[in-house]
Amino acid sequence: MMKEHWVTQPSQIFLKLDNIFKSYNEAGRQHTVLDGITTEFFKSEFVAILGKSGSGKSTLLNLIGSVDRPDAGEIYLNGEHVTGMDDTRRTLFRREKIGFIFQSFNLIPTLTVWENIKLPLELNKKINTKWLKRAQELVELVGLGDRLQAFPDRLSGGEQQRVAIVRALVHDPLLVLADEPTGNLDEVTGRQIMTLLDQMTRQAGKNLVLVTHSREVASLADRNFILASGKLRECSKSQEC
Amino acid sequence: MGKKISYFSSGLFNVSLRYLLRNRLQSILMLLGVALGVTLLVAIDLANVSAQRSFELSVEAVTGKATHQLVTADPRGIDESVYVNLRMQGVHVPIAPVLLAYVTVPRMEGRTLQLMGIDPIADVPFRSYLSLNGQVPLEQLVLFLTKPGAVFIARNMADQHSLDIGETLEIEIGGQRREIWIAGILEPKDALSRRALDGLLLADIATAQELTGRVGRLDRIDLILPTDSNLVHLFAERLPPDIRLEDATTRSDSLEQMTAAFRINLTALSMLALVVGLFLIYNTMTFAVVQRRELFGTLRCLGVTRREIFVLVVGEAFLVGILGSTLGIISGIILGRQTTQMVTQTINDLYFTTTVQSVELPVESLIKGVLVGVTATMLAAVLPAWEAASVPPRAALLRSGLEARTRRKIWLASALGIVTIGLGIGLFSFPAGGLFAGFVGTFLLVVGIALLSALLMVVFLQISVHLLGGIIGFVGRMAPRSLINSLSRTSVAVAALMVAVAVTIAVNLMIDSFRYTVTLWLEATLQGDIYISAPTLTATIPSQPVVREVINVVEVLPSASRVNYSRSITVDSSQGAVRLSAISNERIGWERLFLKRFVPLEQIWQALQQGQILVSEPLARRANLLTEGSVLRLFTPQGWQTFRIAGVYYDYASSEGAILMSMDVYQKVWQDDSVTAIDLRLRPGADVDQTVQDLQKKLGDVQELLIRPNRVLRAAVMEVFGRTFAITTALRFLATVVAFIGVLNALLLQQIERRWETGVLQALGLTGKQLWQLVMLETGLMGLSAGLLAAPTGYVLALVLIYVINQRSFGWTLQLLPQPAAFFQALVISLAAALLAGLFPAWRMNRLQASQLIRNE
Repeated sequence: MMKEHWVTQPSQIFLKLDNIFKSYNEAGRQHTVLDGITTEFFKSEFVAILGKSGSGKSTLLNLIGSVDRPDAGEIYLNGEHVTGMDDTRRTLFRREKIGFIFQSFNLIPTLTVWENIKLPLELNKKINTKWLKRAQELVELVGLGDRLQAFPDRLSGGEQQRVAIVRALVHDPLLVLADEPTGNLDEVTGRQIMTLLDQMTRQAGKNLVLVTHSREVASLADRNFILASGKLRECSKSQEC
Repeated sequence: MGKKISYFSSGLFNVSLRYLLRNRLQSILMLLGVALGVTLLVAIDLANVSAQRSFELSVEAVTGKATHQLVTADPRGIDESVYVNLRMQGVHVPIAPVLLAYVTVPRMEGRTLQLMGIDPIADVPFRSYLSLNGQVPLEQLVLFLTKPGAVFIARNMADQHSLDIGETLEIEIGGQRREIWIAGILEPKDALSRRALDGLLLADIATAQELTGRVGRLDRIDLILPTDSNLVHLFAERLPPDIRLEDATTRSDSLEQMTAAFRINLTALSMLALVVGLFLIYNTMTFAVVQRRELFGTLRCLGVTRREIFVLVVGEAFLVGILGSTLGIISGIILGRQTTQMVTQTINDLYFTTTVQSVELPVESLIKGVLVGVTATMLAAVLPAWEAASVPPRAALLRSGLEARTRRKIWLASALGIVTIGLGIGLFSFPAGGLFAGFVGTFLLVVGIALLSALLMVVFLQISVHLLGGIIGFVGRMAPRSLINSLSRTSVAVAALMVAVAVTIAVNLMIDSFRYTVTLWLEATLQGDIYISAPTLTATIPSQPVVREVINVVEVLPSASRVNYSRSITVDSSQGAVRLSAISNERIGWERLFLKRFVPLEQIWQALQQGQILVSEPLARRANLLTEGSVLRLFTPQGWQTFRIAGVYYDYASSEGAILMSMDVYQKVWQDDSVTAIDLRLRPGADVDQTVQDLQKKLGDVQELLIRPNRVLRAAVMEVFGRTFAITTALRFLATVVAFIGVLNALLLQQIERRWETGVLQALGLTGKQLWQLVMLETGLMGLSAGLLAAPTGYVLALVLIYVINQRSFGWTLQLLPQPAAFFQALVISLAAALLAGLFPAWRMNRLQASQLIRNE
């Protein structure tokens, strides 16, 4: 069952996937991962995508995040035709509008926590008092104010993921994409991370698309989708997806 | 988007810098690769430029502002009367007489100086040493003009050897000892004049004539002619037939050209180290990219563009290039002192004498070093940078995927290799392309074989999997497989080692073949029992005449069955200056090895007596005289004359060319009965050493002479030969050192990358011994692959060096000395280098605990 406010605000479409196809060649055989996916996500929505391992969740996330291109179909994000952009434009679009959170954190090992966090600001030429203040606030919010000069390999998994969340949000992107953000964390830490993520995205009016196989994590989302056999199907959180 | 892409942000710069600082060992290896390459380049360039500059300064010192020179075909020099007549005729252009001679000074540890005789009054418009100074006191000038043996020397030389006005010095000129007297010390104002005057003894023309024993003779008459070609033409027409007007730069240009091939060869050899160094840089940069694929993927996800990633990697290379080149320049300057000495020695041995000892450090060599070093490093980084920029932003591409792609690329590389080899061979078949095409062809050949090496290496390793697996078991199978699985880096290291070892083998074969050829040539050419000549400054051909009394003594020597005389001079030909040797040896046909003969062997002497000549192979090749009926024009005292070629003989004494002529014909045309060398054939049973001692006793007081038995002369020639190749040997060794570092680099990187795997293996129970076995087997296999490929490659390169490069550089045909030992040598060098390189990584891996290795990962 769809939540009421999405039904009542159909004009607030933020992300539109139109007949998306994606397949891979595996040992000479075409393996279709996404088979004509069409859907719409709305502004300030937190969407969770569930599915078994190898179902194509990460592929879909990569397509939404413009790091990969579909074989066919169109993607519109915030009114912009992402699939029509060339590689450089897509990169610059991603740089400005999207924040990524990975299962394995993917912090830059040679940069300190603070340098990792500042990196999107530097790339977006936002190194000024206003943005640095914002970065500082986010750091305080995630409780890492005393670890700024540490290198990633000195942090615990939970701490690393908190840095990754701040890095994904520091430049104020429109959309945050999270790929199994709690997959490498224990239950308690995972829950803390999800609370933080929810607080910093949906509650801050941002869009969050999250890929997970955890029902508990998915239950925090506004809407749940399940990806199976290349098809994306919306399912109620109360139903078996 | 309308947004400009920034090429680099400070964050990205940090990513690069921190990576280089964290991976210190890798960074040091990269720096070493660049630094060693640049060191050799700078050292050789410094040697070449210094030698050239010292030659230019020597020429400048004696040429001054002269635009033209009158020279003669008469080996004794221009008759002074020609100068006097020109003065009497009232020639309205500045003219000045010059007499030049090389002298050695025992008190200066046998240093060679140039004695220059001038007319201090007529010389004013030409050279500024006396006039501009104005400080030469009148009394000194009077003594300079009147006192026998009076000379002026420069302040530098006076200080260097603690000489002062009024001192006398003993000098040697053409085997004769003379005394000079220092009348004054010149104080040149600028550094250039100071350096130009270094090595010069300035004397009045009459003093110089007395000292050299050439009274009434001049070497040349300098002129300053207006740039009116008609006037030059008119002036030339009024000259006697044996006098020729030539442009002042002609002679120095031709001398410079003489050494050009020698210098190009040295530069090419120094470039080799840089090429091997490039493999090293490429290898390390590729590794640096492979190691950071995930990082680049993450950066791409964060919105870093391909271009920024590309700039990031090339920027790292730039940093390494700048630092490496700076280090290379410092060590290049230090090494340059040695190479300059070696190059100058070879030029003095083979070509001409340079007297200027100190030249300033040529800044252009240093700039060239930095530019080449940085550009080469960045070029080597282009492919890895491209690879980095192509990393998809998913960060999920597995290492195995990269290796699989590398294995697929092998076929492409091999095909490209075959095409490149074809292109290289194609270039060799265009003789018109000259030396440059020869070097480009060689480079293509080397690159082609390097491209092909990966495929051949895989074949070899696949065979090894079965062989070693059967013999050693698990470790034996694992080692070759691990090399195949990390082909993206091991293949480059093997190619680098293969190239370095192949070049070592090729240069070895070439030098051995050269030595063999020279030995054969000496056997055929040096058939006299005893050789007599006056000491000369160049090592190859005597040019100072022996005095008449010497001939009188040897002619009546009871132990001699035959005496042959020769007279060697430099003559101008239609092909520039060449060495002419007039000979009295009737059996010359049997004492030379011929490339071409246009008359039967037994009629050679007859042909020479009729005015035909024999030319050496380098001259025949350069002047295209290899066909019957060819002629060569020579400038004689009777003007230009044409000589028919009777044959072309092998000659390894000079690359500029030599001519053999009958002594009778020479004496008739040149009106010169001097003799510069005598060879004695002794009666059977005569004691060679006793005869030499007798001659030394009899002739000791007559003239300082070199009286050498055949074997001593041969040894002297071989000594010059050894000196000539000393620098080649040094360069070849250094190229191997660079390649060794390349293998060490590749192995270390491989071990660093496989720390986790090694940790797991240790955790699973791999013993320390087995770990050693594994690492040493891997390195051994790499070395063996390189060696197996280097042996045939070295042979092919040797053929190219012998039949293309040498022939195009110097015009020499060498006889290839096949040496099966070279194959063995290639294997031993490669294997030794690889095993040595494996010691450190093996020791390092053994020191770390499994738990440490796994945790670090």
